[in-house]
Amino acid sequence: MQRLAETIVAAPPREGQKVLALTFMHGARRRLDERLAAVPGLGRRYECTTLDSFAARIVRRWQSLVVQMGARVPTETEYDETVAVAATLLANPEVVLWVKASFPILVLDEAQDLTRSRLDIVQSLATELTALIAADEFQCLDATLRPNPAWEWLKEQEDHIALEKPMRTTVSALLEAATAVRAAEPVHAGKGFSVNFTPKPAMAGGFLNTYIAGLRGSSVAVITPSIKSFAEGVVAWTSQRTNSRGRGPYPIVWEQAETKRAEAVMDRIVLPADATCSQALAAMVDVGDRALVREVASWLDRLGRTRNKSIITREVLAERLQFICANQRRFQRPIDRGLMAMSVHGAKNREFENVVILWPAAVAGDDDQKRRLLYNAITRAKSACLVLVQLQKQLGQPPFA
Amino acid sequence: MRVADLSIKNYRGVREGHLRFKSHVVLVGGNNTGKTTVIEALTLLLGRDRLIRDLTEHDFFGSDPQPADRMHLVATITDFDGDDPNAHPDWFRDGRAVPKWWDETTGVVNPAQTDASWRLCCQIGVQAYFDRPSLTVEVVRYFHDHDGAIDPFDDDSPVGVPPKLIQQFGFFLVRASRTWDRVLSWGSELFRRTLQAAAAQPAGAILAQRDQLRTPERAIEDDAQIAPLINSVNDEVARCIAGSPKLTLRVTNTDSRSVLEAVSPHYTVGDGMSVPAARQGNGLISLQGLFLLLELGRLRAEAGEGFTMALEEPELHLPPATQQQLVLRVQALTSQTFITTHSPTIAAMADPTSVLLLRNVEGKLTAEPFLAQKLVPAAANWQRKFYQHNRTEVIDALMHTAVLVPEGRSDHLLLKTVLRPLMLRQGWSGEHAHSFGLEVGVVPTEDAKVVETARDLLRVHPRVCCLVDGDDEGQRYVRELAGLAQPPSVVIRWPDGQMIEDAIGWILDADAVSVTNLRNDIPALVAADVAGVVAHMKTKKCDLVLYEAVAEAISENEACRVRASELFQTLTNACTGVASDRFAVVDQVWVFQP
Repeated sequence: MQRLAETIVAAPPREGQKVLALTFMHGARRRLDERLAAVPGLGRRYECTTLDSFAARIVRRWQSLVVQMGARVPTETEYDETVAVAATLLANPEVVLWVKASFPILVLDEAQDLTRSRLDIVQSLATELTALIAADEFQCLDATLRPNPAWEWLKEQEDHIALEKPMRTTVSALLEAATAVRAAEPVHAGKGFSVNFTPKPAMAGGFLNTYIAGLRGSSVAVITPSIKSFAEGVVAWTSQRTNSRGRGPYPIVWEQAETKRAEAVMDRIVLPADATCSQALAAMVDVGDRALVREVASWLDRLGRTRNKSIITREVLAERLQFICANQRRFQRPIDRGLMAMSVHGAKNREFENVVILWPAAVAGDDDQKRRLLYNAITRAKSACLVLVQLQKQLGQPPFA
Repeated sequence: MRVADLSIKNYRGVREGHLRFKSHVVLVGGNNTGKTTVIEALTLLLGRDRLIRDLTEHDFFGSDPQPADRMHLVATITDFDGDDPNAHPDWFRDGRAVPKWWDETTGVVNPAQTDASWRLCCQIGVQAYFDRPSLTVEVVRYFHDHDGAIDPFDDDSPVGVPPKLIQQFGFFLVRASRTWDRVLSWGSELFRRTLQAAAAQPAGAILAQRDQLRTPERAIEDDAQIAPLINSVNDEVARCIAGSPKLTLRVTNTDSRSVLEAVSPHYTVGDGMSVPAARQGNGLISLQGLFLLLELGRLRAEAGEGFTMALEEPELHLPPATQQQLVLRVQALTSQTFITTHSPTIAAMADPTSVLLLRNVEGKLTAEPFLAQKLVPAAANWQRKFYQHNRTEVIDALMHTAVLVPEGRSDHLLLKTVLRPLMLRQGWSGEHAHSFGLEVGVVPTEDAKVVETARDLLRVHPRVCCLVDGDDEGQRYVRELAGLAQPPSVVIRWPDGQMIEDAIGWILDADAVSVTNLRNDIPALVAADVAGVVAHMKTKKCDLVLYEAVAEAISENEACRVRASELFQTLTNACTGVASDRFAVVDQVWVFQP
C-alpha cells in the first residue's frame, strides 16, 4: 500500500482512470477494499473486484473477438473456461491497452494462488499496466502449483514483494507458532495458542464446549484439513451435547460448497414437470431460504417481463440455483461471524477472531503440505488458536515438531 | 464522427431494416415508408435525453408488444481521427466501448483490424420492451458489443453511454412539426446552447432591464386612476400590522430569470412597428431558427466538436431557392446530415449515391442508393443524362407506387403533356386520368435504353413496368426484358405495328372534330385527318409545340377526354397488374387493345 501511494504520486491517474485491484474469491475483496480506501491520494479511484469476475467481464465485452479467434464462448457458470478465454483475449495487446486506458495500475495480493491461466492474465496485464503484486509461496495449498509458477515469475521481476510474516495478528504466541511451522521447527504453546491431545470425538467435543463457553460469544471458526469422521464427530458432539461441566450444546454449521448447497435445495423442491413461474416461486418459498427466494423471485419476474418464458423445468431452475449460489460465494463476502466449521481450503484468505483446528489421525500430503495446511489454519486467527490432535504421537511429528 | 449504418428491429412501422449511410444522406420514399422512423431511431440512439420522446406501445411494430418483442436499434459510429482507439480513451476503454473495425466496402463490422482500409468504429444500441405489469416502456441505451445472446436487461448491467459522449457527438434534430416562434428566446434550449457556445449571454442588457423594472419611471401604483385604491389598501393594512410593507405593482418578478423568460422575439420591417414572431409568416421564422442552429454548428465546428444534423422536410415553408441555399449551408457546416424530403428538387441537389430510396414491404425496410456507385468517366451517355441531368424527373418518378420505363423520351413527354390538362379539367367523378399521375411515375428513358434502365431501377424500386412499341425492336426488348435475372413486374406493348402516336390517334378518333382545333394551331396540319396527324407526329418526335397542341385538342373535346381517361386508367391498371378490357395479356405481355 505504501508502494501504491508512491506510484500514484509519481504518475497520478487521469480523469476517469482508476486502480484495478484484483483478489481471489471469498472475503478478501472487502479487506482489500478497506486497505485501498486508506491509501493517501487514491480517494475512491479504485475498483476492487475478483479476478474471475474481471475475466468474465473481459470475455463478455470482447465476445465477438472470441468468436473470430475460433474459441467457444463459455457459459456464465464455466469459471475456469472463462478465465482461459480471457487469458487468450488478453494476449492481444489491443485488449490490454483497452484495459490500461481505464486502469493504468494493477494491484494483486495472494499471487501464489494463481493458476496457470490466471497467471497468464496477470502477466499480460503487467506488460502495459504498472503492476504491484504480492505473494507468499508458502501459503499455496494447491500441490499442482509446485513449483509455484507465479512465484517463479515474480522472483525474476526486479522489485517483487515477498510477504513472509502473517499480518493478521499481533498475538506473539500465534506469530511464533506460525513462524515455527514455516521453519519446520517445533511449535510451543503460549497465551493464545495451545495444542491438545484428544483421541475421541466425545473428548474433543467436551473440550470444545468449554473453550467456546470461555470466549463469551466471540466468534469461532472450526477448521480442519479433512472433513471426515473425526472432525464431523467433534462438530456433531458439540452441536448436540452438553459436557460434564454443563457447557453446550453449541450448534455449529458446516459451510457447504456452492454446488452442494444448490443440490440440497433442489432435493427439497417439489415441482411439476412443466411448472409455471408462480409454481416455481411457490416451491422455492416452501424451502424457506429467504436470500435464495429473493434472487429467484427477481429472476423469474424479469423472465416474465422481458421474455415469453412461461415454463420453468427442474433443469432450468437447478442451473439457476447453481449460478446464484456460486455468485453468492464468489462475488460476495461470506459471513465470518458466529460459530462455523469448514475446511482449510474453505478458510483461505479469510480471517476469524478465534480458530479451533481439528487435526485428525490421517492428513493427506507430505510433510511440506501438512506444514502449509497448518500454517494456513493458524494464520486465520486474530486473537487465539486452539489445536486438537487425534493421535498423541502426532505431537512429536511434522507439522508440529 | 459519423453514423455508418443503422439496424432497426420492431420499431414503429419497421419490423426489420438495415441502412448504410454516407456523409450527407437524403432519405426519399413514399408516405409511411419509414423516413421519420429512421430519423427517430437515430434520435433514440444519439440524441440527448430532451430530444427523446416517451415511448409507448405504438412505438413497437404492430403496436401490441409481447414481452419478447424487443425494440432493438444498433448504430455504428465511425470516422474517429487517426483510427487509433488509444487516441480516443473517452470512447474506447474498459467501461466504455470495445473497438471494432468498419469495412466500408462490405458494411461489415469486424472485431479485429486485419485490413488496413478498415476504419475504427464502435456500436451504440438501444433496446426497449413494454413492461406489461407497469404499463411503461423500459429503455436502455448501451454500448453494443456483439450480436450474441447477451441481454442488456439481465443481471450484468450493460455499459451505458454517458451523456458526455452524447454531447460530444452533437446530434441535432429539426422535426417536420416545428414550432419556431419561441426558438429565438430563452425558452428554447437551442437558443440557450448557442449563447453558451458563443459565450454571448447579454448579461449587461438583462440587468439594466431588470433594474428598470424594479424602479420604473412611472410606477403603476402611482397612476392617478389606481392610486386612491392602492393608498386605501395600504392604510387599512397599516392599521392592522405595525411597519406594514407597501403594495407596489411591478412587471415580472424583477429578477434576471423573469426578464429572460419574458423576452419574446419580434420582427421589425423597415421603420414600422415591431411585430411578435408568433404573428409572422412561418417562412421567416423557420429560416431564422434554422440559421440559429447553423450558427451553433459553426461554433461547435470551431471548437472541434461534432455536429450532426437531422432535418425533416427542409422544403417546408421555404421557397425553392432558399431550400437549396439552406441545404448547402447545412451540409457545409456539419460532419453528417440526414435530410428527409418529398421534394425531388432537394433530393436532386445531393450526390446521387447519397440519396437513399426507402422501401417498406410489410415491415421490412430497405434503402438503396439512387446510384450505387459514382459514375466512372467512361460511363455511357444515357447514364450521365439519366442520373445527372434528368435526375429530378427520375427521382420524382421513383416516388410513385409504380415506375413506367417507356421505350423512348418521346413517350415520356407525350404521356406527361397529354395528362397535364386532363388532370386540370377532371371533375369529381367519372374521369380517372388522375390516378395515373398519382400512382405511376414515368421516367425519361434516354437512347431507347429501356432494358438497361429497367434493370437499374429494379434495384431501387419494387414495381418497375416497361412500355415498348409494337415493332420488331419492341419484340426484341420484350425478349431481353424477360431474360433479365430479375424481370420487370409488367411489360406493356402497343399493338402490332403501332406506337404511342397510334394510341393518340385512337383517342382523337373518338370524335374526329377534335382534329379541327389542331388545324388552326399547326400550319402543317391544315388539311390533315386523324391518320394525317398520327403520321405527322411520328415524323416530329419530341416536338413540344405539337404535343401541347394535341393535348389541348384532346382536353377540349369531351369524347376524346373520356377515351384519354380510359387509356390512362387502364394503363394504371396494367402497371399495377389489374386486368381490363383494353389490355390483353399475350405471352405475359400486356398488349393494348384499341
